[in-house]
Order: sequence, then C-alpha cells, then structure tokens
Amino acid sequence: MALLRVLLIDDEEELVFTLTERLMLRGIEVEGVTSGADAIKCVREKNFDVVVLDIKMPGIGGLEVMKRIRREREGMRFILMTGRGSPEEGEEGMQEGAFAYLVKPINIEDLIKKMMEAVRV
Amino acid sequence: MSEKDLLREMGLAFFGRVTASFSHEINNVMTIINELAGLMDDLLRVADQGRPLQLERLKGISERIGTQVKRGESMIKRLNRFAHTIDEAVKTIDMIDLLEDLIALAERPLTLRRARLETKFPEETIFLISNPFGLQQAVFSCIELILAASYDNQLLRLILEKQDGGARITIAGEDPIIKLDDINLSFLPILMEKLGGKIEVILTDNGRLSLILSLPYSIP
Repeated sequence: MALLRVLLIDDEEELVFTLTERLMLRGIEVEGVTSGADAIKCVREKNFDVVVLDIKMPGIGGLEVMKRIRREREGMRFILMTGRGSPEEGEEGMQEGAFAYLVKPINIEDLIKKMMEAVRV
Repeated sequence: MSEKDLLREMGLAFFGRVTASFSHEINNVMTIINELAGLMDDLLRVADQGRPLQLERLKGISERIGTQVKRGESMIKRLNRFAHTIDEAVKTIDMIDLLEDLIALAERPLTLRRARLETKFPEETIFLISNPFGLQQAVFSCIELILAASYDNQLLRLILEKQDGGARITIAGEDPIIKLDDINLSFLPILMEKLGGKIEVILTDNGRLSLILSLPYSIP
C-alpha cells in the first residue's frame, strides 16, 4: 500500500513528470496533471490524501482549483507551489485555506515533510 | 501628471511586467533542472542500495536537462536583448526582428490566457528609424489590451505591412471581446504621438477589436 496518495498539478509537463517519478521512487502514489480542469475531473474519480498545486496556471488558476476541489472534497489538504518572486500569492493561498506553500525550486524532502504533516492534521 | 511623467511611469511599469514575467519563466526552468538533477541523484542512491543502474535512463535525463538549459538560455538571450532596447533612444530597427522578440516576451501573458498569436510579416523586412523600447511597449500594450478585453482562448493576429514609407502594425482579436463599451487606450495615443505615429481602434459590429499602429519611416 502506498505511503500517500497525491494529486500533483502544474502546467509545466516536464516538472509534473519528473516530480512524479521522484515521489514514486519514495513509495508515494502520484497522479500528475497539467491543468486545473483535469485536476477537478481527477478528484471526482479517485481519492487523494493531499493535493500539491502550482498557483499560476493557464485557464483555471491554482487558487480557483483549490476552491473547486474543496467543493467536491471538503476536508482535502492543499500544498501550493509558487514562484520565487511572488510569495504574497502563497500567503493569499494560506488565507484561502491552503495547508502550506513552498517556493520553487522546491526541496523534495520539504515537500514530503509538509505532505506528511498535512495528512496528520 | 505631465505626459512625460506618464510615459516614464508607463515605461517603467512595462519594463517591470516583462522582466517579472520572464524571471518567473526562468525560475520554472531552474525548478525543472533542479528536479531532473534530483532524479539523477535518486537513481544513483537506489543503485548504491543494490538496484541496477539503467544507463539509458540516466542518458535520457541528461538530455532532458540539456533541453531545459537551451530553453533557459534562449529566455535569457531574449531578456538581455529586451534590456538593451533602452540603450539607444533612436536607432535603425529591423521590424521583423523586433516583433519576433516581442512575441517571445508576450508568450507568458498569452499562455496564461490560453490565447494564440498568429503573425503575418512581409517577405522583406521593414526598417524604421525609431525608438525600439517605445515600439515594443506600444505593440505589447495592444496585445495586453485585447487580452484584457477578451475571454480566454482568444486568437490574436499580428500583421506587419509597409505603409507610406513607414509601417502599419495591426493587432486584432479574432473572437468578439467582452467589454464593448470599455476600451481604455490609456497612454497609447500619447506614446504613439511621441513615436510620430498614431493608433486607430476598429470595433466591428460583431465585437471584434483591431488596434492599428501607423508608424513613420523616421521618428520626428
């Protein structure tokens, strides 16, 4: 059984692909998608412990995705990823109810630590 | 606020938006390289624990890093060229070169709105003696203006043509805009006047918006 079930959302396909590979090597089950619309579809079909998502994405932005997923899965925990120049967006996400935010480039061990904390809460 | 102050302020704001957007993109590239390098480390770590090391997989990751390095390099070159557009107030400008650089600068705002930009350039380029920074600002602002007034997925057309010894640049949205009564040209007429040209706004009955910039061969 997987340690955690994670939904990873970022419009950079290569980032999703690579981060998914790295998390899976650590025994974490990951579903990676590159758009908010795909993410919303995904949570309707599968169960996840935590959602990790980029804030700035084309189409439906990260904060809006978080709101819409929460409508489907009330207790879902969210970890946001934001660019180095825009930590205020991470703070805004925290006010909107995200569990944590990390500034890119992220440290994978920090991400896993935050995911574990999110699940324990 | 005087026109001079307004132009200076809008110029700085444009410079800030472009550099912020590009640095965000470069940071994305760095993030991917960070993850790919991390993946290599992960594979070497599991190899240390006895799992066979797949050289082909490592080679593939190395190629993926190379792709991102090239992507980042191209962004830095564009950003550097953009930064140097303020070096000379007036110079001879290859308009196709200038617009191609501008399209690269506009890529992120376009992507965030899921918009596409199609270009039509003349077979031979047009040379103008003008202010390169002001020209880029004018065209970029027109793109931003149409995006701000549009739904997502807008198709924009950017057309460069010869006109009366100078040039005409048309930036047009293919789909109807949202705010038919609220087209705020802001500082653009003032900027165009400084460049010796003018801006025209055409809004068709079905709500398609075109902004046409007419530019002289040489700045007054």
